[in-house]
Amino acid sequence: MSDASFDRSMPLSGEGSFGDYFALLKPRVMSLVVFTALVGLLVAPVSLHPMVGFCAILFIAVGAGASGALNMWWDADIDVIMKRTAGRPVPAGKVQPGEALALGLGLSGLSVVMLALATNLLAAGLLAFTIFFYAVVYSMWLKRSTPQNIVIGGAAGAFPPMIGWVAATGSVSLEAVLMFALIFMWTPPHFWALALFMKSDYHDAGVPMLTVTHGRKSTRTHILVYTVLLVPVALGLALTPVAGPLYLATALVLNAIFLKGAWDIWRRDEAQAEADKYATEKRFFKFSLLYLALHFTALLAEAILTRSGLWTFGG
Amino acid sequence: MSKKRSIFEEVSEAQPKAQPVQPGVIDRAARTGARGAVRVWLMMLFGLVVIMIAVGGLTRLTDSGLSITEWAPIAGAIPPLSAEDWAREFDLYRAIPEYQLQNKGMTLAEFQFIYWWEWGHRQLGRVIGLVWALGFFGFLVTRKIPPGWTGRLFLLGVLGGLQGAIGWWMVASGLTGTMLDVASYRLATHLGLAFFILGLIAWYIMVLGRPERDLLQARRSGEAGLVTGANWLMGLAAVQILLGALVAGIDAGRTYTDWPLMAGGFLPLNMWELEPIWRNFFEDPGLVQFNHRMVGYLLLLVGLYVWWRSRRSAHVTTKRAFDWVAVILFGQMVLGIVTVLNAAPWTWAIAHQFGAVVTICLILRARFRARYPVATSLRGAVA
Repeated sequence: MSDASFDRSMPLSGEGSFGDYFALLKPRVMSLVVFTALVGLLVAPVSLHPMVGFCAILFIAVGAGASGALNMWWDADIDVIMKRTAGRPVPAGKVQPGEALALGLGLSGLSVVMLALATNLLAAGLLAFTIFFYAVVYSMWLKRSTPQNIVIGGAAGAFPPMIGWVAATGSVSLEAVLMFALIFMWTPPHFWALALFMKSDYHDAGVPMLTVTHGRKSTRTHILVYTVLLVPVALGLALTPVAGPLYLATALVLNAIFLKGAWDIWRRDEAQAEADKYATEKRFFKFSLLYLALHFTALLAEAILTRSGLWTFGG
Repeated sequence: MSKKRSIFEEVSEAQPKAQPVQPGVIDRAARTGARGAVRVWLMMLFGLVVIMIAVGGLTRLTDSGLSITEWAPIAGAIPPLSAEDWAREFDLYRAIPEYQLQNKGMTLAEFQFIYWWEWGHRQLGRVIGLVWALGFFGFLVTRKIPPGWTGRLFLLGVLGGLQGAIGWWMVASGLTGTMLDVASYRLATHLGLAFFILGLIAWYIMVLGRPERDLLQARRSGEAGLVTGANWLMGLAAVQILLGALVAGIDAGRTYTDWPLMAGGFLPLNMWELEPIWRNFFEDPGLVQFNHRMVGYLLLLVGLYVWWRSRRSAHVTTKRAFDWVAVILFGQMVLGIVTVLNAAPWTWAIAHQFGAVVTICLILRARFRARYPVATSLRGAVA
């Protein structure tokens, strides 16, 4: 099927259920955004009323959903080609492209305005920039034009903890930048591992993923390089007031395992990978999800323990 | 010798008159009466009522409502023209509690400012009454009222007259005792009826905008679920408007000026102070504003649910109508929040009130589209 097989202006049946409209918002991605934003909000050294916190997280989540809907609207032509994405509401014909666009734009406006009213203009500005970055800079421009798409595009997914922090404090600080950097540096190895065992999909869709443009050997090297760069960022966060011994211990263990995984991927050749059906790559990809979740869980646990007076080490 | 005949010519010279086909009842109904002219007249009334609601809101926001202390529907049309007239009006105002307890020492110029607002509001009421009477009786005499519409159009006049009486009943509540403003209950009744009249006119305009036969045909493909959804929205919007009137009536929008909290907490402070308890729901600024906020959130949530239900509609115009409902509900919420964050200055407050007018009209429009869908082709174009 060629790119021309999907027309964004096409009025499809559009008999979407609630689930289809909800799927437009990429709930799995949204859950990660909500979690990291919540951590950014809760580790901030200010006491925030739960109602304000709830509103901030809600509007950040809505903003994430909005950018997901805009991405699905724009990418419908390639989603229909890739096995992994063919079942999405727009390529599957359950939601009209125009409706996905309208929902995306509407929720974008709603989330930004409401976050500004509930918290502050800087947080709302960052959210607006994130939506723009993901929907326009990444989806419409970088994704189809450069193999470094995932590196630069990863910034969009890295903003939520910073937005959470700014919503609480009203300013950007080193802690927020390091939380941003942690996700930013984690994104390329995470996605390139996926690309190693999903290469044909990206190739068929004409997306210039590193595996397609530079080959698998180069991708393996890139995974190792970015993982090496990620480690000091993750450990550097342990030196800030929001982290402490619990986070440091967690980060040391996780980064050792992650580095070992990247090393294993780099050492393998294609014959080995194909022989075991990319088991190492798949394992690394799954662990990468756990890696990020546990870093932020450790930060959250530390903040909760410190606030409740059960923990006295934290800053 | 007789003239040569065509072989196709009728034998009889007398040509039978062709009988025109008699139109059916629906066609006859559509052709009689001046639906278009009546609709234009209703549009004029609609515009005047919208202005009337805005002027009424500004009369409240400028604290001008009690400046005219007499009920003179006819004689009051002529404002004070001489210094003596002004002195007499000012003396009447000086006798009421609002002046004695709140505005003591007010200059004549300051009094004139509030007087003109109230006079303008009442005068606009007279203009609306006149436009209704001229239109209604004009169409009645010329037999231009479409079949079945005489009672409906007469009802508008009755409601207009009732609104004037309620207006005075409201003003009268602020002229005695220690009242510094009109009674908020009566203000809510006055505003509620204004919105009811406006909604009725809007509905009539929409119904007259399509031929009777179109409506009868369209109703067969009407979407009952969406009509019910729109009815729920109408009901909630009506409650919200009445709560908004209570907020305006007791200046509750100027008390808790933070959001999403109220003075740093979810619930307002001391919200059960008045006795008996039920009075707090109408007279405690914190609780009244809290209720207005909560119903606002509920209205938005129900609106989004109904909007999602509208996605299943086969009619593009129906979907679009509900899209606009979702947009205005969000817009109204933002306007409300901005109004309260700025302690309800008249600019934001009147914008919020105008937003309520647009909200009611768009909900009614969505209800109309759900009840009488416009047929569309498969490609989404209007058939």
